[in-house]
Amino acid sequence: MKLTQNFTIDDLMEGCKAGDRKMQELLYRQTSAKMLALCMRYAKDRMEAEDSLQMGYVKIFQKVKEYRGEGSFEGWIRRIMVNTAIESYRRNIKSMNVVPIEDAYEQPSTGFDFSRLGMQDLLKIIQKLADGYRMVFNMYVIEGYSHKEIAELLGISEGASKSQLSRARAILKEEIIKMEGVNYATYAG
Amino acid sequence: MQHMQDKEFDQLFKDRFEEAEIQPSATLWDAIQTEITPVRKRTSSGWWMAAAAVVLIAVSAGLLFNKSEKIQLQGKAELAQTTQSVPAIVEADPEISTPVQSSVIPVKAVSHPVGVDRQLNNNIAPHVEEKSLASMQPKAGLAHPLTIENETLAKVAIGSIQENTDVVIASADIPATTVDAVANENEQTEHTKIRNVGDLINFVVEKVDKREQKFLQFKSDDDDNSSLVAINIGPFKLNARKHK
Repeated sequence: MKLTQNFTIDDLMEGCKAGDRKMQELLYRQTSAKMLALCMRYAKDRMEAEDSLQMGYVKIFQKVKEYRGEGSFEGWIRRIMVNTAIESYRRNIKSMNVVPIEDAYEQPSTGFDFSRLGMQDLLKIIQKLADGYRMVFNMYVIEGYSHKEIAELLGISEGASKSQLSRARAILKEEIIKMEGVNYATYAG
Repeated sequence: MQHMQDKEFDQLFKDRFEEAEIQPSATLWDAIQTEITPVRKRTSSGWWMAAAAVVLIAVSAGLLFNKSEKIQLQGKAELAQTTQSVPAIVEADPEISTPVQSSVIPVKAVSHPVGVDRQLNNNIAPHVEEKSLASMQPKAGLAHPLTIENETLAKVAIGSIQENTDVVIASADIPATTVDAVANENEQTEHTKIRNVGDLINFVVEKVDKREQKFLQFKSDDDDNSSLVAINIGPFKLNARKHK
């Protein structure tokens, strides 16, 4: 790990462009934990996420020569990871089971207590979302894609992207209330 | 109000995931490494693949070639059987007007199991008819030994039937000699008889290895079993026959 600190991410990028196996490994060691956290948001479980991570890194090492230095190298790696997740989602889209739409949901009267919720809690409820909702929510909220970009990448209409986002939010809120409810119940009881 | 909540809500997720890290399994790098490695080595392994393909084609071609000959032999065995059955027909149905007519039947049936080219079949048919007209002399101009075999057979068949119409008991011996005659002729024309895997390997080895001591040699016994008798791979030699 000490060796890693002697290289900037751009040094590693140059090494990867040259096909240096040691540099490839160092790049992986330095970035893979962040990228797995990203993959976990797009996947149903850890196994699916690690499969996606593996495919993403293979792609990164194969395509690194195409990186022209537009934007940060880490941003480029992230984009490849998200694209890998989108590709596997689009491959599986036919077998995707459509979750019945729950259009009527009650707006909670009280605010959320966010402070109790950790990353793992949020990850759990994101992974429970239907595939389409999870894609749109991640891309819009975390990655910051516009509805237009999401529509193009997922092959859906902008309207569908917007409605899926609001449904995803609604489901997540319900899940959080459930969790909070359990917390308050144990607290009050 | 609703809008504010959405923004607030989204920010919660953004904050939690911004710097989120989850350590992958320790074995994942090895999996990635092996997946990106074969791309480099493909060129060198490609030659091995090509070499293996050539060997495979050569061996399967050799097997196919031998197989067709094997079928030929089986066809002749059947041929002999059909010839044997002729007297029975004659015996059962004494009303068959001419022996010549019945003799044509087995020969025609023969042309199928022999399994030679259509061309050959075409050649055989007219000859058979000529023979059936009673001329017993083999034609001098016939080039292929196979045609001669069939002619001989036709001859013997006719002969046997002609004899058998008079004496039925004697007929059993005549087709038996026919089988021997065919077998003898085969040995003359093809040098080797292929009865089993050992023979097949010997045949292939003979084509490949011209030395007196082949790199692999099998011995076949009368029960159609074969056993390894000799190996000659450079420094390592084995010859079971010499020890005996």
